[in-house]
Amino acid sequence: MMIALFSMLITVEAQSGLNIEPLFAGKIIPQQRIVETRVKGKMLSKYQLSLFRSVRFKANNKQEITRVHDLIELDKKKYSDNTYSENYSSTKSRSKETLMLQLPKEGNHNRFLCYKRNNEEVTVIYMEGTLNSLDTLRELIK
Amino acid sequence: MTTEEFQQQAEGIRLQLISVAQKYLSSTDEAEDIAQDVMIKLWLMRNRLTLPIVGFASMVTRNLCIDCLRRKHPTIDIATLPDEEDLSDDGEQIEQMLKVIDTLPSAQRTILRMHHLQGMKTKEIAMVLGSTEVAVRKTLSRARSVVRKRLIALFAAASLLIGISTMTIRYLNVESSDECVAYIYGKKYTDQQTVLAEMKHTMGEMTEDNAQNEIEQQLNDLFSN
Repeated sequence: MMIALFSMLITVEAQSGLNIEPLFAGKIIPQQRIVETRVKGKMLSKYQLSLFRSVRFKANNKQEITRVHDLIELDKKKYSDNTYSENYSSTKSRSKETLMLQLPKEGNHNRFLCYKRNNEEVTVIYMEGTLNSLDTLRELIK
Repeated sequence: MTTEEFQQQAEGIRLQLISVAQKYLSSTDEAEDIAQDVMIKLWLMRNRLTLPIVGFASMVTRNLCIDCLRRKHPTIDIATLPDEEDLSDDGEQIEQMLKVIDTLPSAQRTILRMHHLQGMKTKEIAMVLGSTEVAVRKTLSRARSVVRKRLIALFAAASLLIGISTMTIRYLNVESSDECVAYIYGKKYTDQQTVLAEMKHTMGEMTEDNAQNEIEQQLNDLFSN
């Protein structure tokens, strides 16, 4: 019982368990080269979200793109039934690609993982909340 | 019965009582404890006793052995467990220790009290109980050891509870707290306007209509082959 209680009490980052997690943890691209946002709580309620995390950066070389791409690819495979929308290539030959995954729910929260690459510009977003779909989010942002 | 009469009787029946107790209990130490216990009970009621006391003492020994066997399957009343607050200062810690002493078998409890609270020497205690100084020291040592172990267990449980409570409070605070931070090329921004603007920009970029991009992409793919 104590072990269960302890494991409940240890704070776990919401996006942990994803293959792309090291990017959010700053283990792939150094912090000096990224734009990172972490927003949690009431200020997200208008977007029907409770947590928003994003990382964007300009890749210095092909290896950085490949590494992030491969991690996203692993998450895509892991949650292949949950692909929300994609314009995405597994071969990495395209210069532009987007992928949006709706991850399995955690409690009452819907979870989304979004990836976009425009040449060397890479953006990855993780979101949690009562938001039902990314179409709704698109409407809310307008 | 006078004190002198009691002392004479005590010396004579002690071994007999140990023998009675050994029939019920496998451990010689436990049998000695029970005999000690009986002697204390008899000492406390010596004014009401009449000679000879051996029959009565044997009956008391049997009853205490049965009690001892019952105690081998103890239960704990949750309501009697200490709150963490009970251990918050010295006075309460002493009270806690006295509570632990009260849970000892009566021989251990009485000898501990005689020695530490009433300031009696082990020799004096041995005389009063019709026992030997060595046996009294042994009982005293066992009693201290039990008290020490139980107090350590209590304090450990209390520390664990405090630790868990602290972690829970911290966890709940972390969970419920708002966070608003952006790191832009290593520089930290916490003002809501900058962070939300950055967030909205990133969100918008992600959810923007990709029709134009898709056409460009297809043209690129077509001409790159």
